[in-house]
Amino acid sequence: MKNRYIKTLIASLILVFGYSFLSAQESTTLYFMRGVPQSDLQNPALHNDSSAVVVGLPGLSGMSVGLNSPFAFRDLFHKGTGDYADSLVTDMESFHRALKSTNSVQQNFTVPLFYLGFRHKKSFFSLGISEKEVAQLTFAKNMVTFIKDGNAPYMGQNFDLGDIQMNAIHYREFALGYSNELIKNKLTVGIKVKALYGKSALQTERMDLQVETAADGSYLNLRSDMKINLSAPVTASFDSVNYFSGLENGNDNPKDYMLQHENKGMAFDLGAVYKLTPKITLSGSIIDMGKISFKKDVISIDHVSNYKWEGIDFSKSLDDTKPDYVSQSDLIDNEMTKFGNSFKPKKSEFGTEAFKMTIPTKIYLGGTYQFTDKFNLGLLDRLYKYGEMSKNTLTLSANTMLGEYFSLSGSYSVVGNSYNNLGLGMGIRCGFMQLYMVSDNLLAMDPAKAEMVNFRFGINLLFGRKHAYQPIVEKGLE
Amino acid sequence: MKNSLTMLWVFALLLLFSGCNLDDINLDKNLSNESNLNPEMVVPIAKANVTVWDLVQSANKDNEDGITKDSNGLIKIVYQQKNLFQYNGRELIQFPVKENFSTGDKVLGDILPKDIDLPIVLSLNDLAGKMNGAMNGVVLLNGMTLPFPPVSVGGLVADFSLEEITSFKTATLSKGTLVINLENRLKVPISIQGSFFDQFNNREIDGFSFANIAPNETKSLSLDLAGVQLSNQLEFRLISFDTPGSATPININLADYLKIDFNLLDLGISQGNLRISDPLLVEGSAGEFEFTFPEAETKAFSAVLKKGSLTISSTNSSPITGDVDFKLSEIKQNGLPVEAHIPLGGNSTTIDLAGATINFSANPAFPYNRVPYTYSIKVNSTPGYVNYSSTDQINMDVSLNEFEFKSFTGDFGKRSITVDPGNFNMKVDLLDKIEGMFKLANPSLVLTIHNSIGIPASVAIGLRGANKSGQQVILLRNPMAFDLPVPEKIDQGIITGNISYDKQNSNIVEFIALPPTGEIDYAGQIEFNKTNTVTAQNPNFMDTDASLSIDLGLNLPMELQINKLGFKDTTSISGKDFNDVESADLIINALNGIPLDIDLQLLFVDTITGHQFGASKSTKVLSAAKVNAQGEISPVQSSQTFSLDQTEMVNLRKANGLVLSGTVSSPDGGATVAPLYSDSEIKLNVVVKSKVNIKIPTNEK
Repeated sequence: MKNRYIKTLIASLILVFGYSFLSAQESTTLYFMRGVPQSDLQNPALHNDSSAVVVGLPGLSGMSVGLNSPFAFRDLFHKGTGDYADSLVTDMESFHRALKSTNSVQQNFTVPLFYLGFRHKKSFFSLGISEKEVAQLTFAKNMVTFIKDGNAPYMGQNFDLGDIQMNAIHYREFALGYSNELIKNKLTVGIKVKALYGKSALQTERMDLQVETAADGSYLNLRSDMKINLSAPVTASFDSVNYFSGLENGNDNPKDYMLQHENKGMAFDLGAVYKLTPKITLSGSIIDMGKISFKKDVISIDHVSNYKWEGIDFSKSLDDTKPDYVSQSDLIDNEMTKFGNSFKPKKSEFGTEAFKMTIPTKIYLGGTYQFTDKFNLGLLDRLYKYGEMSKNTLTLSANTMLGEYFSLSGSYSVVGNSYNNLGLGMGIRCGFMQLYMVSDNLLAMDPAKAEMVNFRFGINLLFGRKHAYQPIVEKGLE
Repeated sequence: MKNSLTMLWVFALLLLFSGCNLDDINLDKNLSNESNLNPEMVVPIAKANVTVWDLVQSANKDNEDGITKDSNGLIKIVYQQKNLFQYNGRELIQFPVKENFSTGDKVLGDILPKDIDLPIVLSLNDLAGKMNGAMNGVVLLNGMTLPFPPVSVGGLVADFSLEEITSFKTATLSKGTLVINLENRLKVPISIQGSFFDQFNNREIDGFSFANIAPNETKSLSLDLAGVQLSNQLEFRLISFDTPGSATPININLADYLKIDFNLLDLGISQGNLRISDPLLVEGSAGEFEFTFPEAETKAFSAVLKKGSLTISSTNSSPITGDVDFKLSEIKQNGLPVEAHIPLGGNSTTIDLAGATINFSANPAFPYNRVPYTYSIKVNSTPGYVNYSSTDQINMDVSLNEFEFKSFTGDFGKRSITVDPGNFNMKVDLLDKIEGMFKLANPSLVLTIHNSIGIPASVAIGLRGANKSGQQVILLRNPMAFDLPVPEKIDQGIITGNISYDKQNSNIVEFIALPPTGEIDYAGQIEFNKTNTVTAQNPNFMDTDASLSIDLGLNLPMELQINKLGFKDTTSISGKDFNDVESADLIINALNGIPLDIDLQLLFVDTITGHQFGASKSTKVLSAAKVNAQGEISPVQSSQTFSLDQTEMVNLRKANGLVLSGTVSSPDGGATVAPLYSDSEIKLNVVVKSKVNIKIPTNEK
């Protein structure tokens, strides 16, 4: 019978693991989840587990994947009606309605490679190594408006499709943490110093598209302005007239890629936990204040184009006796080439200047109200800021320990303008091994309805634990 | 407890993830290509700055329609029919190729011998011997100086023979003069009476006398010999001698003498027994030959021969021999009269007359078709005496053989030739495709005449055209007949002249407005010397290589007056290609410098059954440029939209063929003339505005 449960558990974990590739977001439910040491990832001063030593090993520490968008899948695709009742149809109107003036889709992926934390008196030391990837696509609603409506409604106007921001970064983080109870039973502060080694990055400093349509339709003025930086093991290639033709693999040795250390950066986490009253605890943190300077394999593109399209000019294709006659096929080819080249950067517009990329910064502010020893309510506000994009998440959670080995949290989050986010976190300890999983949006089980999904799971090795649910501050008060 | 918690944990997980519904995001499996993505796009697809000439060149690459432009750039269609009519001048007049002439029997005429001098010297002693002693007293005084005694003797027959004439034995003189000179070398004056006597015929030819001739004096007298018959044995007979003597003594010498010369001058011998010691001319003759042309009305004034020869022969009935010098003074080669030297009664002589010029008008009485001739005869010397008569005859035959005129002038009379009926096809596709009201403001037809025949002529040519429905128009001109251009000189070669049919002198506007498709029929008549008077000063002339040809040229300047001139073209389509197109507008923005309105309509058809599913609205797609009263063109800016609404799109989807039916009109519905200049330009921008249902690409089949 036990084996059966174990098999069932493993199968469930596999499901969770697989699912996590599809959806997840760095969890706010995790912040107050009791008995799980990963809370120090969000506040270096906050330790919801009292183990003396915490170890995370590659392959066991799990991973975290997050995706956040301003629209749900079903906003764009949903079941049709009539003949298409059993099919999905594309609903641009619904999709368009779901968008805000500026929209950002964020995705992150974290794989902890190693974690070691240990407690000494009133201090907690930690060392973590993680592989992190963050990507964000920001676009204006105008772009979708243009796709949906076309340019006919905007004849005589210069239609701005808005900025498109595509930023992505892959880096390795070496984090050294320390926290200490500064005021006994009152205040604990923590700090993490992070050494960052960038592997690759894509940075869009600017990418603006405008389409001006003449009032009589006689021309389209297509303008683009972009500055893009790239650091990756690729090289730019050019055609015979020095127009950009594509990217080619550079050094594609995975080992070289993973072990490179030329792109250095630094980041800090700061946190504090303050027990206001015996039942009320306040906490706050700033996570990932830092940036990485990319110097290796840098390709920067600074390109402005302004292309006025007035149709193919057949003036020289009528009289083949004229010396400047151009056949219609050549004319079309030439015009298409000219059109294409106008949006292709020239070699002279490429550079190799180093660039810096910030990493997303998170600010947490929260507090708990302790109803009983094993149950509290938490309220947490999380501000996510990456570049010019910021998003606020407000989470109300209920956190409890069922017995000494089972941790359970339920949450409700308002993520931006998304109000249908019910979260759940669970952790179970079997001896020194602890399994946990947490998600802020159970509705992601139906991904079509989810605008935000995240999931974190993992296995911790916990040693010397006194009270699984007792936070260090509480412990210190005893 | 532990087991319970584990079970709870597992249950929670299973509860959560069994509810995970991934069906809605299985795009590969369920996503249809249906969407409500139907943007309305506006895209300029083409533009062009196009001149009328560009359009013409594009539509008419091989220029089979003969489209060109004049110096002002006005587009025009030019059709040319070379050699609509061709005529060789040699066909107009029939020329003789052989002419034979004869001088007829001609007498030889008188022989003209040289003058004959017969002198005689008579001394005083010779005289004394013939006076029957009447001068014996004088004879006695010989050598003495005494007064010379008077002498008077009459009734004498004292004959003194003259030298024998060698040029004839007998002769009948048709003319001649006997001149007698007497020189007195005596020392006393004398008077004598004598006789010129034919001893052979024993008859006096004539008598004569000299009176009172002083010493050393000479006297002459003349006697007419016409009609006189002479022999070659002549003598002087002294009939009387008188002298008064001298009153003073003189030296009387019997050697003193008288000298008498008998000179036969300017003799003409009509017959006789003659001997010709040196060649001499006999009297010649003249006449004229008359050319006979096959057509009686032909009067030749002059001509140049391309080739031909002159053959002359003679017959002679007299015993004398000699040569004939035959001369055609009005047939010249290299500026010199043609001459022939032929033997009397001998072989014929042939002269090449290539390049010779002939003047047929030397005879003022008959100044045409006649050529004068002259000849003279040179008689050879004779070894002995021959009987000669001036009435002996000779005859000369002249023939012109295989001659061919190069040119000639004259009066060729009134003639007419027919321009045989024929037809031609302009093959101007543009005209074949015309439907609707069509009129050209200034069409013209030009007959270009190339002529080197020097005969004034009047030409009338009629043309008849018909359109596709069979309506006919005969092209009329006022006046219908016109004069041929005629060279002023025969060496002027071909001259060219144009005869125009335009809107002022003909109904060509209506003729072209038919429009004349298919064959255009023509026929005509040319009449020569219809009204003019031909004179020597104003002759007809013609080189036998002369020709007359007529080219026809149609000049159709594109000054259009058209209203709803239709054009159609059918193209195959697949209506299904437009299934996802909700609506389509074609926006034509144009700055039109071409004064033509264009309307367009689309007909949606099944090309197999011919069924028409419907049609779009007829829409103006181009607005005509303005044309002022001076014909100046002002471009017009317009933006026209050709729209297909949803109903028309439905019909379009049913069709497999699209008929583009359009009309072209000049400004103000055809009331204003629209000149099409080659450099008139249209700045065109074509924009498509279309609402399209975009299908999402899926794996759905």
